[in-house]
Amino acid sequence: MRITVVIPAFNEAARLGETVRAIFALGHGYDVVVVDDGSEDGTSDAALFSGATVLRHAVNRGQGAALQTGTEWALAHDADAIVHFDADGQFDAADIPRACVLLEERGVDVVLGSRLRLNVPATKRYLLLPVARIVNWAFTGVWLTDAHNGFRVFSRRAAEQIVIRHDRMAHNTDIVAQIRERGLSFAEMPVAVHYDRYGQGVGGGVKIVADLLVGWFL
Amino acid sequence: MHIIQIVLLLFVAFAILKTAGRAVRRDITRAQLVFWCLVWLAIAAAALFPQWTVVVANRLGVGRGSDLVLYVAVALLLYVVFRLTVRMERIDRAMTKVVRKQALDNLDKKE
Repeated sequence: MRITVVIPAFNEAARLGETVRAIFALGHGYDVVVVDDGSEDGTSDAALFSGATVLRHAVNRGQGAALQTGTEWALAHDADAIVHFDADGQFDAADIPRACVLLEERGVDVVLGSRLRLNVPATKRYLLLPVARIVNWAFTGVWLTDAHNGFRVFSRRAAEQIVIRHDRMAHNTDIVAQIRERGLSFAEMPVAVHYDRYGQGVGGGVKIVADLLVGWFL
Repeated sequence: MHIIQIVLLLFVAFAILKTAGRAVRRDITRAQLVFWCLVWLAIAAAALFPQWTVVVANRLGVGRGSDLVLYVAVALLLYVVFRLTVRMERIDRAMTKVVRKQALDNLDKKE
C-alpha cells in the first residue's frame, strides 16, 4: 500500500525537517509531499533537504487550500491512502501506521484523529472543544469526540470524492460534512498531540463559523 | 430649504452622474444601474420632501421619518456588505485555483 502524507506548511522551517524525518523513519512505503503555502522563511528548502516532495504556492492561500493541492498531487501519483499531517511536530508520526492499519482492518473510508488525551490545555478541553463539537454537529449532523483535528487518513476512494473547498480553516468541518453527504464510512482514532502552541482560539473559531456560513451562499 | 437638503441633492446629482458613467463604461450591469439610481432618487425624494418620510413611517408603524430612513439605510448597507463578502470569497477561491495550478505545473516540469 502506497501511503502519501500531505503536510501543509506555512513558515515552519524550524520544525518541518524533524517532522518529515520522523515519517521517513517509519520505514518504506511512505511518500511525503510538503505544500509550502507561500512561506518566507525557507520552508521549501527545509522540506527539500529532508527528502520530501515539495509543492509551492506562490502566495499564502490557507491550510485547506494547501491540503487540497497536496491531495491532488497524491491522487495523481498513485497514492492508495492519503494522510493529512501537521508540519509543526504536534502530531506523532507513529499514529500514521496505526491509522492505516485501522483503515484497512475496519474497512472504513476515512480515519479521523481525536484528542482524547489529558495534555490538551484546560481552556480548550473544557470550553472551546465542547463548543466546537456542538458547532461541528450543527453544521454536519455528525457527533464526533473531537471537532477540529488536522490528523486524517483517507482511502483513495474517499480522497477522490472529497473536495476541500474552504481555503483557510473551515475545511475541518466541511470534510466531515462531505463524508456524511457522500455516505462514506469513518472511524475515530485517538491521536497524541503535543501542544506547544495553543492553536485555534475563540477568534479562530468565530472565523471558521463565518467561513462556513459564507460557504453556504457560494 | 435647509443646508442639509441642498448638500444631499448635490450628493445625489454627483452619485447619479458617477453611476451613469460606470454604466456607459460597462463597469456595472444594467440591473445594478437601475438599483443604484433608485437608491439615489429615494434619497433625493427624502431630502426634497422630508414630510413624506413621516407619512410613510407612520403608515409602517414607525414613529419618526428619520428613524425609517435609518432602518432602511442599515438594511441596505448590511445587504450590500453581505454581497461583497460573498463576492470576495469567490475571488479568493479563484485565486487559489490559479496558485494551485501553478504549484502543480511547476513540480511537473521539474519531475
